[in-house]
Amino acid sequence: MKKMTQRTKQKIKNNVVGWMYIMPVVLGVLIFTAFPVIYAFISSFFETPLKAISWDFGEWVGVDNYLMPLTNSYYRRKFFKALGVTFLYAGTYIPISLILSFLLAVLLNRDLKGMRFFRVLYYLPVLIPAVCSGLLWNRITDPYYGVINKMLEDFGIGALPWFTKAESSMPSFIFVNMFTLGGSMILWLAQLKNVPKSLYESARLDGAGRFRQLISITIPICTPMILYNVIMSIIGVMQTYSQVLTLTGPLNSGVDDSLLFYVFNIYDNRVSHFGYACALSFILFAIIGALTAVVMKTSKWVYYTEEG
Amino acid sequence: MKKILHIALAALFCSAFIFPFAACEIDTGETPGGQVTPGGNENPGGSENPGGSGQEEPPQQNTDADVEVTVGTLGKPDELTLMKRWISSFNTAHPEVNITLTKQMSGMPDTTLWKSAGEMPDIIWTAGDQHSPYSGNLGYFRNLNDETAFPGCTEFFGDFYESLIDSTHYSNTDTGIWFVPRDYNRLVIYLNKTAFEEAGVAVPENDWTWDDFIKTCNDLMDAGAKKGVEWKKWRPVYTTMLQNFGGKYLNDNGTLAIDSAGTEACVDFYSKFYELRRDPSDPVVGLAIEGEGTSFKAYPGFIEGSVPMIVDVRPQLPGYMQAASNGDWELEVRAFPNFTKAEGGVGYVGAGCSGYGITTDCTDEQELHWAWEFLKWCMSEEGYEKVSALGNIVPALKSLKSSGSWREYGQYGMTVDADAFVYGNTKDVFLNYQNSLPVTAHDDFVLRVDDFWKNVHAGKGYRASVDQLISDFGALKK
Repeated sequence: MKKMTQRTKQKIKNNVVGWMYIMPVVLGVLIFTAFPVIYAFISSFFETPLKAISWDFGEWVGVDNYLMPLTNSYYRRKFFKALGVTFLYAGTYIPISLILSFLLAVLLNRDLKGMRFFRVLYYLPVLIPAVCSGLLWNRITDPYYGVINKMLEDFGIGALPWFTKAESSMPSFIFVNMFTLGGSMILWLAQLKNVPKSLYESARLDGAGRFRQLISITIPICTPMILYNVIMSIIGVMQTYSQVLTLTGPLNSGVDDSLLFYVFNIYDNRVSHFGYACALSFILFAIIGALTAVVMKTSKWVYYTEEG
Repeated sequence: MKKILHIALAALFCSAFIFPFAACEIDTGETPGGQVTPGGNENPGGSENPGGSGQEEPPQQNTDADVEVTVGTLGKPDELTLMKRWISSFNTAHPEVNITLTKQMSGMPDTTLWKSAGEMPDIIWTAGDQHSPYSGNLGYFRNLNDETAFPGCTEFFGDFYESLIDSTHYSNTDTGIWFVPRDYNRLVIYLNKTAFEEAGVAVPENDWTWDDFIKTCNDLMDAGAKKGVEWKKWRPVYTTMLQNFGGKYLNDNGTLAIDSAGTEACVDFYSKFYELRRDPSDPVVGLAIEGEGTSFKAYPGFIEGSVPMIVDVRPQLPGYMQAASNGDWELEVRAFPNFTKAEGGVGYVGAGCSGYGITTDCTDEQELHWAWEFLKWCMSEEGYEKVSALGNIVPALKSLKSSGSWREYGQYGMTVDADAFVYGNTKDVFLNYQNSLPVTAHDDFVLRVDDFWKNVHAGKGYRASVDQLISDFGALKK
């Protein structure tokens, strides 16, 4: 048997010390992330109600849980309704929020007195937990007693139905979420600060106006941030949950399921059909992964400066 | 240019923050905290610790006792206060045992987490209409209808209202009693007596009929009220109204019974009841506003803009008393109107409960003995006396129907007619309508019925709503 050299021993010793340093985090990830994910993945192939964690996963059903959204009329209706609502929200909210947060950042990027104050103010709503924000907006948008409807009535415009009608629920939800633009805005601001001033000076010398500078300099240099914001928004929007719950109250998915987001579909099935709920989670994982891959594959429009 | 930018920013700032700031001024008369409702479902906007301090002291503990019995209950302020008072009194009277509150739940699924962690308490709270998956399927509860393990159970349960005992079974063939019912929650109508007086409308009596109720709503609206009644979109109310109109969800053999003339009449009623505008040709149109108590509590001080009645249950009484006291108006309560009309008929009312079960994790003989003794004591005349000052419980015992300090509850110098909560003008409706199905299909069916009512409220009409439920029922995994 080959004898270990002093160097090998030292290497192992160094590695052991390194592993001990990171062990708390590794254990945390293994126990609280990896194990639940693996357990949920295995459960997704079994028919079982929610029950205590054990190696008895229930009745083996193969890929039936993954096919259920196609084979059972009730689950199909719920699945595609939830998917439709989620995609509708993603398709409208993401572009609108990206454009508005970008314009807000451009506005707040001006070198004016008191600008820091406004930046902080616009970021503040992001710090309100989604549940608190939802409860607050639930009151503000109350059709009978909400302050917005009171104001609209005072101006003679008339009360809005907000979340009490199916057709107005989604626009209302998008409107409410516009108050969290500060999250994307702060990222835009960071990116805007990185645009070299010399480029603007050169453009000005060439006679370019502010709009031209925005189109030809600011936006191209911000494209990495656009890509980042798009991907993060897709991930976030596809997992929309807590705000809807607090906004809509006990009905939780809105009038006529107009706010039946994908995660609600998982939540509604978690007790009676835990395996199916797990399968839905992995389908969502696949959808998010696929969307992200599509965005990444089509990201040739992203311009990376020399600094990256 | 800078000035313009500053103005633009200030305007943006105002538009972003004016609504949250303004919301601070809204006074709906609501108090924090929740309550348990007929079926045991949580009901937002409930009352906080009536008759108590809001922050109940930790219960008396017998740390030297040989036997310890653990309890898990709903983590709502009122529920915790109630249980702490029972524990304190029982522990004081029985130094040989230590009853201790170890767990709080936000809902029944939490019990599965406790089970996973090996921390299932000996006694757990349950909702009367939600226990079946846990008692009938997962086996978390002990059958208390067993004289060997729980001596005296036959005599003990003999004094409970029959409708509450019915709710302790997990199917319509099951004879087990899986929890001890705690309260007798029938739907009642709370009313704002001050608004009635201002409107010149007579306050009804407990023996009023459905026609009287409709007429009262119309009279109130004629006098200027915004709506006659705040009518909850709530499972016990739906079940009550469906049965009153002669419909039902399921037959005893588990087949769907929704497609009937009774259901059609009920759907027709609901399609008109919440209309924004009234129709003089139909007295039912536009009488109600949907809500959880906000409109009823927010009495502006005059009949215009008020909603003087609400359908609710006893646990909300302390909250309504507080709102009445804050708004300087007088509260009264009446039994749910008897659904007899000019042509006669029988009236029904939803009656549900919460309760406490002994878990199968409670295996020690001594612990089992004391868990049973504790529950028997809680649901005894003495036990109910200890918590009557909270005001949120109508005892589940028939022997206390017309006696006991629960009837004398009052605060802020206010009392209401206790008879309204137990008035015998109507028959109790069985709220666990899912019980004729296999227990594994209970939760699924309830969700499908919820969808049915969503469709009704979305204006899809009787035929489309029923067809949808028939289709969903066909796809039910049993």
